[in-house]
Amino acid sequence: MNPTQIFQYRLATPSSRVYPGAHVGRMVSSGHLFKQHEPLIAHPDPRRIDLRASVLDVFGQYRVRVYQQHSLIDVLLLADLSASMSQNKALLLACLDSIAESAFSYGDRFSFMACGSQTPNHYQLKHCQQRGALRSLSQQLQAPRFVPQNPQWQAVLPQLPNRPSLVFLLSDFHFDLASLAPILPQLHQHDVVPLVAWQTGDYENLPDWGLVSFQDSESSATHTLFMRPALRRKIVQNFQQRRRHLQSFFRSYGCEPVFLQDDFQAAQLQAYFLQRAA
Amino acid sequence: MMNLAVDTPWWLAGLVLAVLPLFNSGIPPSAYPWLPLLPIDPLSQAISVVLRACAMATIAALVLGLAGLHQTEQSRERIGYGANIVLLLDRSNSMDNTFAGKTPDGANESKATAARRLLSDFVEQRPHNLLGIAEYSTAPLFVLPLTDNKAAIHAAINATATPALAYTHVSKGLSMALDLFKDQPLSGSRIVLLVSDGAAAIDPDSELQLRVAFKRQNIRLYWLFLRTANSPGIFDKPQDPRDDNAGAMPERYLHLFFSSLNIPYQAYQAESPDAMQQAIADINRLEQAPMHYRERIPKRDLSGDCYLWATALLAVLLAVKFFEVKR
Repeated sequence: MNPTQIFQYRLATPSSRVYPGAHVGRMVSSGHLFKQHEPLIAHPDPRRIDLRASVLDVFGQYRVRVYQQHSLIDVLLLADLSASMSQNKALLLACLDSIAESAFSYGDRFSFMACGSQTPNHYQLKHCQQRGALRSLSQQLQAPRFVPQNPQWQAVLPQLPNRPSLVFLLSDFHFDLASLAPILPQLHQHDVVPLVAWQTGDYENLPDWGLVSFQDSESSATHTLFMRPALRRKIVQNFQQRRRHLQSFFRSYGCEPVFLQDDFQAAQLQAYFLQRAA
Repeated sequence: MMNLAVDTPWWLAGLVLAVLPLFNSGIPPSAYPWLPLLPIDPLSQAISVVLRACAMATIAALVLGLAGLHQTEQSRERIGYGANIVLLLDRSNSMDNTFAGKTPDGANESKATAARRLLSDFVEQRPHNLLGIAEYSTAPLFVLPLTDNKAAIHAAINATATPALAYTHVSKGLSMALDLFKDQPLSGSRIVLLVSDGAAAIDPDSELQLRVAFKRQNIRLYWLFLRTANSPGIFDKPQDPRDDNAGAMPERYLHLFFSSLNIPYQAYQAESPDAMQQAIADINRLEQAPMHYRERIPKRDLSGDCYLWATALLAVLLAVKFFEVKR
């Protein structure tokens, strides 16, 4: 088995967590990055008294150097486990592994939440920092068939941390975006990364000629298509249009979606975060 | 007008199966994440509808074929020229002799053979007429009711080739010929064509019945008398007044009886096959009045057509099956 690919990430805004970690934070304490001088009375650490600053102080007080503390952040993966995601299950598991491993490599806490009205509660992982719990969750996810349902994003909102966190939204976003529109503003304090999982087989790898019958994974409605090159082009166009629509939709809420085609590539997320940092 | 019927109506319960294609398109579906992403394609929709219709029609055709769909016997009203004719043929022994009264040899055909040949031609010339055939000898023989089935008529005429029977009992034969017209809602003229080579006296009871029947049925009577050489003719008057009675000269008295019926009556006395042909041609020319008649269309079995359609539709569906692609 290939070692899990990991990627580096950072939050757009400094973390305000008290727990020390690997990310730039707002807390002042021990660290490597000088932040400011403070009076000794406010920060009683005589080891850090800056004599030169104390001499220059007009009020004759001792000045203490304080450093910025690196803090940990919460990394969350909110996954849509509706039936249409069944074909993306391998992608989902790889994504879960990679994000969790990346979080562990920073020492961050990883949480997994399934968004679905009928998803059992045990598809959840809260503030996990151990691989054992992660592994048992992956095994649980491997077995079942996903049931048709509409993702219920609203239900997970109360369970989100109230500090800025990194939130991945993994779905194929094959549903009416109107259900997502009221949710995104409520996630404004978090750093939201929508992961759009699509299978090229659904549009690019369709046959040029022939009769196909498609059954909607969610509604079980069937649709018979007489495939021909013109229709195939039209389907590809529809997907491209949908892609642009998703992009503009998420950009209007200040986040840039990542399109994962067929399988999960950690390099893609790596590039995404590097691009954002630039 | 199509009057359709089935042999075993219980099979029609199977028509319920014809709704199955509404629930299953027959193409194994493959899962697709979200159908609204697919474009609405009118051609595909049309093909889908046509395929379902094909499948429904196939099932319906098979069920109808099993049920034994057929078109019931029908009649069609038509207008033609001619008449309703009953041929009353003499089957007495003497008909098997030639006009010269001898056993037929190669050169001379018997009266029955000549009559058969000429009547067959006569029937051929009258395609829309209803013909019935009765024969008489010692007793009347019911051969064929009024029909327009040419094959049956020819067969009936040819059946007179069997050796003739005994005597001549004309009054019973006439009664039977008139009976053929009974209860027949026929338009056009009604003709009895009596072909005989002799006659017999008619007893008073039969005479009375015949008079009433001829009047009631509104019959036109033609008598084609095939006179054997040296036998009394129908127009001959006896030289001896003592012989002027029905027992001695039945032909003359039968003629007189027919003449006294006050119906259109014509007698032809033929002494050779040529004269007989002349007489028949004469009758053929005279009886060309317009007439309504009902053409009967026999029951037609449609189950074969049903199976043919089902096969054709199945072939279409099979071809479509090969055109399917799996994802």
